[in-house]
This record gives sequence, C-alpha cells and structure tokens, in this order.
Amino acid sequence: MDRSLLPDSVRAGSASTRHSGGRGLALVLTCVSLAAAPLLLSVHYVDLLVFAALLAISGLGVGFLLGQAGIINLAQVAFYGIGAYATAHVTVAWNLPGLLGLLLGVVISAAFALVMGLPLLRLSGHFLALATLALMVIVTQLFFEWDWLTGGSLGIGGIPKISLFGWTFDTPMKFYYFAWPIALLCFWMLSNIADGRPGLAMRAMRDSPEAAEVMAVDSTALRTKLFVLSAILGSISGSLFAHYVGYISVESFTLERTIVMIMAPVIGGVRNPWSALPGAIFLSFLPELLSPLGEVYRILFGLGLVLVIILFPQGLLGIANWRRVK
Amino acid sequence: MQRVKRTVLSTLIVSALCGSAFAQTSGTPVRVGAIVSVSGPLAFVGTTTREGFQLAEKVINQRGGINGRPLQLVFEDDASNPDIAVTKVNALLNSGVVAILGPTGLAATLATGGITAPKNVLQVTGAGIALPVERERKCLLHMMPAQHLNAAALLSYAVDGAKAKRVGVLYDSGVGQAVMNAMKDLAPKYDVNFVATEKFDLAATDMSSQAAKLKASNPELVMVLTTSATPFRNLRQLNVTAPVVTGLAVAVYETVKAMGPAAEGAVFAEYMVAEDPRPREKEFVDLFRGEYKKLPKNFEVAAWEAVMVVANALKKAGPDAGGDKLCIAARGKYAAAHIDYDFAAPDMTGIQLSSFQYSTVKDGKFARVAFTAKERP
Amino acid sequence: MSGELLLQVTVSGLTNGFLYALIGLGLAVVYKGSAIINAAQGDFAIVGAIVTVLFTQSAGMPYWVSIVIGVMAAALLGGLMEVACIRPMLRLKASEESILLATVGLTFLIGAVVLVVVGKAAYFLPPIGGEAQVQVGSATLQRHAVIVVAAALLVVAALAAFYKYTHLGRSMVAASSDADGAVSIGINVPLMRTFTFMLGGLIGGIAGVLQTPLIGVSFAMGIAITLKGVAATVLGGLVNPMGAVAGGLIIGLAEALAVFLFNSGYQNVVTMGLLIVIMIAMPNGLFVTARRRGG
Repeated sequence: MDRSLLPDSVRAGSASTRHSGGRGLALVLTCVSLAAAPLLLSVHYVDLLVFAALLAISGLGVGFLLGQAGIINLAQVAFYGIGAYATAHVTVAWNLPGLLGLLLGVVISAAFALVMGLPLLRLSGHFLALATLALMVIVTQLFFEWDWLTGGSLGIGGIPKISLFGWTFDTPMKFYYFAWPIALLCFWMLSNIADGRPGLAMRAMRDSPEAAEVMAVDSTALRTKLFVLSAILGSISGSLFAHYVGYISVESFTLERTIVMIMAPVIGGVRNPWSALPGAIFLSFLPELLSPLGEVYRILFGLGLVLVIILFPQGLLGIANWRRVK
Repeated sequence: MQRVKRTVLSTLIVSALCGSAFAQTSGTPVRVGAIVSVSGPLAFVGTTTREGFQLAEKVINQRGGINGRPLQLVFEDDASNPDIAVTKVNALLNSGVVAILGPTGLAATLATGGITAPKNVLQVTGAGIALPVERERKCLLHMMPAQHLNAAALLSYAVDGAKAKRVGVLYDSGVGQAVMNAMKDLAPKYDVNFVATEKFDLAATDMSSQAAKLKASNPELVMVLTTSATPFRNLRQLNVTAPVVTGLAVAVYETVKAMGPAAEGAVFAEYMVAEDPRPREKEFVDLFRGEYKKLPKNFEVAAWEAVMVVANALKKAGPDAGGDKLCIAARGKYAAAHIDYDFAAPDMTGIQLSSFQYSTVKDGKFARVAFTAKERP
Repeated sequence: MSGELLLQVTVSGLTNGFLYALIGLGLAVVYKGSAIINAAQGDFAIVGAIVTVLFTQSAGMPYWVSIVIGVMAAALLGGLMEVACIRPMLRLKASEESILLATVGLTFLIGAVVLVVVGKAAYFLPPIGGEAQVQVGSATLQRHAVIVVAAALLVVAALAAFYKYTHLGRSMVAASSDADGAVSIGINVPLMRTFTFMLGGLIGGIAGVLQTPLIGVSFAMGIAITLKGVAATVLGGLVNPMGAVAGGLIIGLAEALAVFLFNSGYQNVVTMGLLIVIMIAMPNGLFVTARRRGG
C-alpha cells in the first residue's frame, strides 16, 4: 500500500513505537516491578493489584478500540459479565474445570460481539458510542431479568478457584502471578498488532478515512474484528474476576464499571496500547490511598481524577511525549 | 439489662486513640472490623447502620468494654460495591481484627463471606440470608431474615389482616425481585392471586407506566417492594385507592418524608415502632434518642444488636479466642431489643414470623398496627 | 380498558419524554457552542434542584425565589466548569475523549459533594401548580406535568429566539461555527464558550427544578439523567434543539409503550433496542441537519 497517502500521525506508528529503546527499558522495568511487588507489599495491596490486572485487561480492549480506531465502546462490562457468568455456570452448575468456563465465555462473547458488531459498526461517531451504551443497558438488564440464568441480585456463589497444571490459585499472591502474566501477554500481543500492518490500517481508518478507503481497507470488517477482540478481552477479565472473588452478582456489572473500564486507558494515554496498565493501577489505588481521609475521600477521588485528566492531556504515558510536542 | 461493670483501672492508659469513650476501660483495644456502604446506592442503609454501630461501641465501652478492654470498631466504606468489600475485608483481616461487622449489601455479604468462612472468622451482617451456600457458613450470622420470611410477613398481613385476595405488586429489580420470587413460591399457601406484578429498574426515575398497568388490573391491595419513595408517589398520582403494604426497606423517616402524602395509611412490615416502644425496646430507643436526637428504626437496632452479639461472644470466649471458639460462643439464642434470635438455627437467624411488628403512617408519624403474623402450615 | 391504559401510559411517557428533552436541550446547547458532550449535564439538574430544596426547606424562602437562585446556581456551575476544567484542557490540546472523560470525572465529583452536603436522602419539591390534577380523557395528569410541557416548549422557543435575534446569541453561534472568523470581528471566543456552558447550566437547572416534584432528586441520580438526555440529543442530531425534544419524546414514549406491550422487566431492553434500530435505519439522524454522518 502507498503509505505516502497517510498523515504523519498514522505513519508514525502507535505511540509506543516512537521511542523503541525507551519502550524496551520501560517494559523491562514494569515487568520487574510487577514481579517484585507481591514480595514487598502487604496482601492488601497485592489484592488491589489483582483487581488492577483485571481492569487492565478489560481496559486494554476498550482502549485499543479507542486509541487505535477511534471507537468509544461502552459495552465492555456486558462482555465482562458474560465471561463471569459463563465461568460461574461451567464451574458451579456443570462442575467442569475453570479453563472451560473461560473458553465458553470467550466463545459466547466473541459470537455476540460479531453478531451485534456487524450492524452496529456501520455507525460511527456519537451514534456508535450511544449504540454500544444501548447494548450495555440491554445486556445488563437481561442479567437482572434472566435470574434463572444469572441468579439476579442474589447472584451465583461458590465459584471454585481456578487451577492450571496442578497449581491452584487460591490466595491473592498466587492469583497475582496468574493474572498479571496473562495481562502482560495480552498487552504485548495487542501492541504487536498495533505496530504491524493492521495497526496502520486502523489508524488510517481513525485519522484519514478517505485515504483508508483508497487503500481498500475494509472498514466495517476491520472494526468488527477489533470489536470482537475487545469483547474477548472483556470476557477473559470477567472470568478471572469470577474465580478471584468466588461470587458474582448483577451488582458488579454496572454503568459505573463500564465507565471505569474506558477511563483506565484514557488516563494512561489512549494512543498508546499500553495505556490501560498505568491507568488501571491508578484507578485501583487512588481510592484506597484516599480512603483514610474519611468522609471527604469521594470528593478528593473525583477531584484527583479530573485533575489527572486535565493535567495530562496525553495521559500518564504521554509524559514521554512532552519533549517531543514542543 | 443494666450491667454497669466496674473495672479496676490500671496505670497504663491507652494513648492517641482514646477519647472519653474508653473512660471505663484500659489495655489494648479489641479491634473489630466494620464494613459499611456510606457511599453509592446503598449509602442510605449504610449510614444508618453506622449510627447503630457507633452507638453500640460507645455504650459498650461506657459499660466496661470487653472484659475491661476497650472495643474499637474499624470502619471501612465499600461504596456499595462487592469487589471493594472483598478488598476491604482482606485489608481488615490482615490488620488483625478479630471479627467482622457488615457489609451492608446482599452481594457484598456473599462475596466477603467467601473469605471469612474458610478462615472461621465471625461475621455478623445486617443483610438477610440469600443463597443456600450461606447455610454452610456457620460463622456468618444474619440480623435480618431470608426473603421467604419477609414475603410471608407481607402476605400474612395482606391475606389474614387486610383480607385481600387480588393483590398487585410493584417491585424493583434488586431485592424487590428476590422478595417477589419468594412470594410467588408462597402464593399457593396463602391462597392469594397476584393480578399484576410490575417490575421497574433499580435506577429508574419514574414508574408511572408500571403503576398504571397495576391500577388497570384492579387489585384489592398493592404491595410495593423497593427502597425509594417514588413508586408510592406514582401510585398516588394515579389515584390508586387500594391499600398499600410494604417492607422495612422504606420504613425510614427520610423516605416516608419524601413520600409526602403518599405515605399516609400505608402499612409497613418491620420490627420497631419507636413511637410506641415495647418494654424490651425502651432502653435502646432512649439511648438512641439521647445520642442522635431522633427515633431509631430497623437498620439502627439491627446494627446495635450486631455489635452486641459480637461483644457478647468476645466476652464469653475471651477477646483473644479467635476463629472457631468465637463462632461457637456466638451461635446461640439471643434476645435482642426487637427480636428473639437463635443463631444456631439452620437459617442463621432463627427469626420467627411472629416477630414482625406492623405499623402505618398517620400525619407523617409511625403508629402501631395491631396485627401479628401467624405461620401457615 | 386496554385503551384507557394505553392513554394513561402515553400521557406518562410523554411527560417523562419532555423531562428527557430538557436535559437533551442543555446537552445540545453545550455541544452546539463547543463541540463537547457534557457528561455532567445531569448534575446541573441535580445541583439546581438541590439548591432550590435548600433554600425552600432550610432557609424557608418563597418557592419562586428559591427556584431562581437554584437555576442561577446551576448556571454558575456551568460557567465554573468551563473556566476551571474545559479551558485548560483545550489549551493543552486535549483529545475529545479526554474532555468527555473529564466531564465524567466531574459527575463523580459533583455527586460526592452533594452527598456530603445534603446526605443520602431523596428530596422532593412541591409541584408547581399545586397538587391539582388534570384529566386527559380517562388519563390522569399532574397539573405540574402540564407546566413541564409548557416550560419545555417555552425554552425551545426562547432558545431559538436567543440564537437568532440577540447579539449574544448570534456571537455564540459565530464563535462555535467559525472561531477564527469570529475573532476577526472582535468576538471573544473563549468567553462565548463560557456563556455556552452557563446557558447549558441554566437549562439544566430549569430541568432539575421541573423534574424534582415528579421524580425527586438525590446525590446519585446525575449519570442516569444524563444518559437519557444523551440518548435524546444524539438521536436528534446533537446540535438541533428540536431534535433533542423529538429524541426525548421518542424515548419517553418507547419506555411507556414497552411496559404496555411487554413484560415490564424488559422496559430498558425494548427502549434501547428501539434506539439501536432507529440509529441503524436512519444513520444521518432524525433530522438531516446533522453535521456529520452518524451524528
């Protein structure tokens, strides 16, 4: 394809490739810190970091769609829920291993995303955002309504811990070393997609739709694939969540949760595929750090959130770009 | 029940944390975790619960604490979110609390129970028992009954008290749905016909259409299963004249105030009518009114009693007993201010149908309704 | 019998539709003047209502005075939001989604402040026009609901007149459609944006005061209200106030008819499903004046 047709923002690659050397170092440091964290922090913080991993995975899906393709996906919590309920059913009602639950969740979410994505992704802009929101409302209301399937507000309990090759991940620390490698793997895979040809096509579609059409990028097909990918990540995150907490109910699958999922990558700097990682850690830790302050901590959390978004317009990872921007 | 326990003060006084609340006590505090939802959709129940907890803590310490040592409640807010409740309970257990009070919500209780149960940590919650799995959690005590009992209390009044056969129900998608399901199970036993059952979303701001559908089915009596005042107002705006029966979730002064004229004449199935306290409730009502200058209702007394249960168990087994011994000490009969409990019962509460008190609203105030629910075989 | 029920739910649905329309109107005004979707629009309504409640109940002031104060407070909040939050972000060249999420953050913040100030309870205001009711055929309507409809239509008309006939209104339109051109004729573009947000706040405050006698107000309601308004205005094409009204009415009616026709537990499923169908069938919006494809 003739890349000269494309604007700089597309050709320059995903934000993460602009400083290859720096990126490699940052990645190694991140991995080392994450590996060492449970050994240095109390179990309380390890617990928080597990939730951060889960948020990072679902946030990755949403952030990828937004940052690379410009699509606001507010339906993520629906897939999170599907993954969680699939896991709950397979392990509790059918007494089968957790991995099958994970797989089932992924299959159902992908199929659902495909079926819904084909008509919806013809829309664009605000219509599409609203459509994903409508989808989320529909699915979450069905979670309530079909309580023979989901248990409704009483939920499904007794979800067993997940095991792999004989290891059972039944403590926060063990689960940490299960969830974070999965998260990092997902980030790495998606980052590679962003750097490759599909990434080019996505950003072309986002920033210069006319050029993308000239280059015969099939917009709807590509967007649907991305939507399915995002849904799969949401589902994986939901399945892990079900195993970690052992109990799920509709109250975990709310509008607020879907908003938090999209906040993570935006706070991190949505153009960068890795954005959901610092964003998720930030969103998981900030309330905890503020809660000792008592009554007003919710106000301070809102304030902190707004301030971070205002002060870091390119996100937390965008700090690296500050020197470049001038 | 006045037990002013005099303690011999040692020369060591605990610093920093102490206030006048610890005046009669000394030594290292006995720390008990308390998870309450003071923000989010359940803030309503959570903040009320906290008042009950705090009063109990204060009074227990005035009366000598736990065998002379001060009781210290460590509060955490789970923002009505079960995931945060899980994090908080882990943090509390890690910091060395000997028991857990709360959380506020049903989902949070089930989630945190999964953590305290394997560790045999005594947990006393205000939420009702929900799932069968909870019957295996011998250390998780409930201050409120299962949905079936709530449903039976409502049906009892509707059928035996108000002599209604055609009943319409307006309920929310949260706990309302759980109670509705229980009522459907019990319907044959009470020989009642649900002519209309209309559901509305928890987050909905208006239920006029559902109320209209209810009205069109011409019920003799309407049950409202919800936590907000709006459905009552919708019913009144549509001039629904059938008597209204509802549960303790809305038997709260602020909610009744928000209902405005729609509250008049509604009947509540609850546990405490503080305007007309029974002898067993008087001490608590007076203490609460003295402290907060307002009358208590169900969430407040349930919270107070939850602390009492934990405190009694700690006194019996010893503050450092921990785990199993504490649970065994707690699981027995207990006569609370408002209800007789039997925590050794299979449903972890032992509450009887006859414990329900019925009230109505006259001129904006609660008044007792003379009715006692009887079990139907 | 069924006909009576249909009439009643239609009347209730339209009333709600006008309430959604008012929120949508505020959103449309802000979007028209700044190209920003304000996720905190519902909180303008909450704040306007709460301030009115405080002045009526706690300070004991006459109802009309409290309403004016409440609406002004909401307008001020809008202006404050623009100056403190939007302006710096635009200066730092923040992306569209960052600004949107900043307004979401503001929703959390405002809700938290309201919780601390007035607590967890729900508050209702006295209905304007008293407790009286109006009969429309066999259907009952609060007199207040009639006033809501009249007020909504009045706001739309006033808005149209404002943009067309007043100097300020025309300046705001100029500033938003061609910023450079506006500057060249001496219009203070950032100030126009501030006024846009103040106008959005004003309309939000009016919406809050009008809806509170019917549905009450509490600290957590902001985002739910905004959602309905966003749906209304996006459906209507985002910049067109009449579109927001049409969108709001469609949603209100859909909700009511969903309950009439189906099991009430599926109310949101039906309404949202209809929304999706409409958007797919009419990708250019309900009104062809939509600025870009897909709204």
